[in-house]
Amino acid sequence: MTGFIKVARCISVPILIYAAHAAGAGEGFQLNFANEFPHYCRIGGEPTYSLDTTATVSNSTTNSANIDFGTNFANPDATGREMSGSVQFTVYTNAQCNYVLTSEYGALKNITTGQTGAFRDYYADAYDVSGSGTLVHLNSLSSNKLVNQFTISAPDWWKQSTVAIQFNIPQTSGPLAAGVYQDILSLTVNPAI
Amino acid sequence: MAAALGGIAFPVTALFAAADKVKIEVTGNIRPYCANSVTAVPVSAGDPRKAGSAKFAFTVDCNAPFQYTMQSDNGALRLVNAPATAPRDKIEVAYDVHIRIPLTLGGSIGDTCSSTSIKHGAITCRFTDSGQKVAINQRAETQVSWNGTPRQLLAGQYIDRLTVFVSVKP
Repeated sequence: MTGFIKVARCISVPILIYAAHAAGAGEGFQLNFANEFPHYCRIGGEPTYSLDTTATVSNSTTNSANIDFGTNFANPDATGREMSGSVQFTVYTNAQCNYVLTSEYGALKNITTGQTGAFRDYYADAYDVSGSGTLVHLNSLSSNKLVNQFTISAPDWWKQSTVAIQFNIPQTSGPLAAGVYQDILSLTVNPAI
Repeated sequence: MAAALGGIAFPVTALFAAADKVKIEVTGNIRPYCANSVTAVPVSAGDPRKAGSAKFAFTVDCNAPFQYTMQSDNGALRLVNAPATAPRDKIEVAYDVHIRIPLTLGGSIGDTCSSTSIKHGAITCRFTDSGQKVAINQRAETQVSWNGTPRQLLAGQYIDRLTVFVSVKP
């Protein structure tokens, strides 16, 4: 009887093991230990929020949430109130991960029908809470704007990172056009390898 | 990524999502309002027998599409303390008023009405609304102009008062 074991790559994570008879060799078999467990960066669990008390969170899931400041977004004279908040996510990873934060409108855009060109600028950032972030000023110059991108090194085996999206909406001295203002921040996480 | 054995391959990535994405929608709402919704504009003519004009500026501050109306107390420049029995053509001089309200994203409202067409209680002039536009802290202006008249007028001061009402469109 002849047999062999083939070990592919370095085994440091759960492995996939396959065994089979070698084709045409009635007395042999092949056992593969293949380190093919994919690198992954996954957001898990419910996010946690730190928001102004006037904000409400709805449709909160692992991968999305709506944060609504309602009419507290502005004073009675339509000048914008200062608003701020952050959302923290747990990221489970076995690899170095790249993070890319983008903004749908590059600002808070007035999406009410008939309102075109009305924006409210604000700041946003995404960062590893173990490090520090720098708020990036968004503006209405472009849509699908890249806000920020960064890489977090792979944690020790089977650990997790905490990543936050924070935003700050400064007050305005002048009144703002009426309507619903909206932006959508998207944070994409990909293995760096 | 795939595992292979004996020429058979199957995707491992199908078992585990490697990447992930999260979306945060941030929204806020600003109510419509119009500040300075009523503006009274004094109109005074030096010598109404001679052609003349007068301007008056005021602020329109509406953060939503709006409409306006304008009315005149007298429907004309009228003699102060006019005798009750005096005929109107001796104590009144009609005039035209042009109103211009700039809009925030360009353009403006511009209407001209005769004083008689905006007389309180008998308004017939048609006023243009802002369409879908707004006027945030815009400096509006009325210009009143009258032609000289050969008629004999009673001596005294001739005045009127225009009132501009601005409101959010329903």
